Amino acid sequence: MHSPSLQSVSHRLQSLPPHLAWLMAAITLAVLPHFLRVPLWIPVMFCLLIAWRLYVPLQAQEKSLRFVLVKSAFAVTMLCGIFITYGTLTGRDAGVALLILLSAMKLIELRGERDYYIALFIALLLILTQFLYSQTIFTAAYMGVAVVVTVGTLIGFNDRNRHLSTPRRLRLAGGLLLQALPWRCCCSCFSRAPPDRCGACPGMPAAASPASTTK
Amino acid sequence: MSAGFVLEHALAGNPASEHLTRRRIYIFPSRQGLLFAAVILVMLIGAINYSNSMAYLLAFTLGSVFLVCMLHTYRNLRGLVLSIKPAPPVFAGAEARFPVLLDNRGGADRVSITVHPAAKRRGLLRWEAADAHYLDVPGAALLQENLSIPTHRRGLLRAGRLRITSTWPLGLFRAWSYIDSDAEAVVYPRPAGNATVPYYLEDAPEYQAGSKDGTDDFTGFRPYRPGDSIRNIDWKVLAREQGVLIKRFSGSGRHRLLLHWDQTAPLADTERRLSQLCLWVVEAEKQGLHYGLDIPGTRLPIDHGEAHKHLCLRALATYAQS
Repeated sequence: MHSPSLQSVSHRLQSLPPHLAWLMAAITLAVLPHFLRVPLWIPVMFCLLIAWRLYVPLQAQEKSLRFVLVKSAFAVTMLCGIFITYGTLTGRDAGVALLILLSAMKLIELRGERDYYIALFIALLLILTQFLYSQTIFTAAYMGVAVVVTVGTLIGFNDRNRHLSTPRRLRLAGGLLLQALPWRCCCSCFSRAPPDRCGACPGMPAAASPASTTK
Repeated sequence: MSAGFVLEHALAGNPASEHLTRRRIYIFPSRQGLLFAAVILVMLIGAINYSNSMAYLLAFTLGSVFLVCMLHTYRNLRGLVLSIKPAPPVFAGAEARFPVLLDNRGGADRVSITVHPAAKRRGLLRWEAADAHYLDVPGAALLQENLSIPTHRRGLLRAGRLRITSTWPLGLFRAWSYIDSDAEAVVYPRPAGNATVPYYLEDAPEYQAGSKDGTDDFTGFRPYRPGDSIRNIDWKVLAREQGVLIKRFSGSGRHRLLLHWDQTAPLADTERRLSQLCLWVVEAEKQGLHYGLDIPGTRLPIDHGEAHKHLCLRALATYAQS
């Protein structure tokens, strides 16, 4: 039946440690826009890995041979699949596919604090790479939400006694990003980046650069 | 006092409390902060390569978040006032718990601060210790926490230099500051030893029953023996020519002993002798005896009670230590 499996998913999600739940949310948000574009096997593999993380208690079997074998099987499948689909392991599309699957595999291998941070940084790179395909305002707004969730996850990692509730955490993340805006505008003014769609930041228009004004 | 000790004393700030001011807070990116900076650099390179303005936007925004995080992490420590009080005495091997008072009455909430002894040198780019204990200090509040420092030897343990660290909010920077504290804990020697408690000094004149305490109860008579104190002779009975009788009191005259350094002579090692004496003091107090202590440098008269026990143990702990 449909509802028992949904219930079991939400039950598993609630039983996760909060750091892991936030991390999975951040990665999922970052990855979803890519799913509209990549070949089908990549989302399928991603979901398989997430399901593995959700349903199988990993602490006990981290060192077992079976775990290592399954992990290696996934890794090999991933590399072969990307190579077959894109013909290369580098470049924009192949790199994005690699990042998507790496993020899911990192979730399996969360051993210490370091791994949490690396997984989050992969999520940030995934957010960035979405911009290489689409620069609409809608994408920008969605990515803004994804960045807020990512920063909120970082806050959660450092809130060791877990005394911040979710709304407070998100407010803090949003506040941090708002405070970062003035600096960002400074960076934009002083860089040679191409201007936005609306003609303003992130960079000075190319016409103002000295190279073009000299005759 | 050795010169090193005097120098350390001279360099220590106000021993009672330390105010974390702008000058004394250090800040540096943590390992994940440097990784974050590297990721931003990669993003910037990607943005330049593809000439993508949204990518520039993201890279600049995250770079600004990096800078803003530095201010937040610094602010998490700034203005906190810490005081460290002397710890209650413990036996060697146990942990001395120093009460640390965190005074945050002037500031906002502080989250995830650790206070630990600065003795161990760790690298600048280390990961946080898995067993670190994190404190949250709410705004406009006073918080008292216990700082546990393990003890190994007897003597006076100084809290010494403590480090306060925080990586709140994003873990990209680590801010830290130092406090030099004079707070001390007396560490008693570990009670150990096989020798039995020495025999009671029952009949020595100055330790006889009832000779000094006015609160002992009269419990009867016994015949006079040569050597008994003549102050206890019941003169009325003698006047009735019924013999010389000594009054007996139910004071603890039978339970008075003097613990002497020479009684541990079979043990050659000073530390073992101190441990043996310490065991005797603890046992004597537990059994309700009256005891005194006589070691080179200290002589404590016979008494009983918790305060007396601590005096004896402190004398043992600080034996032959400048």
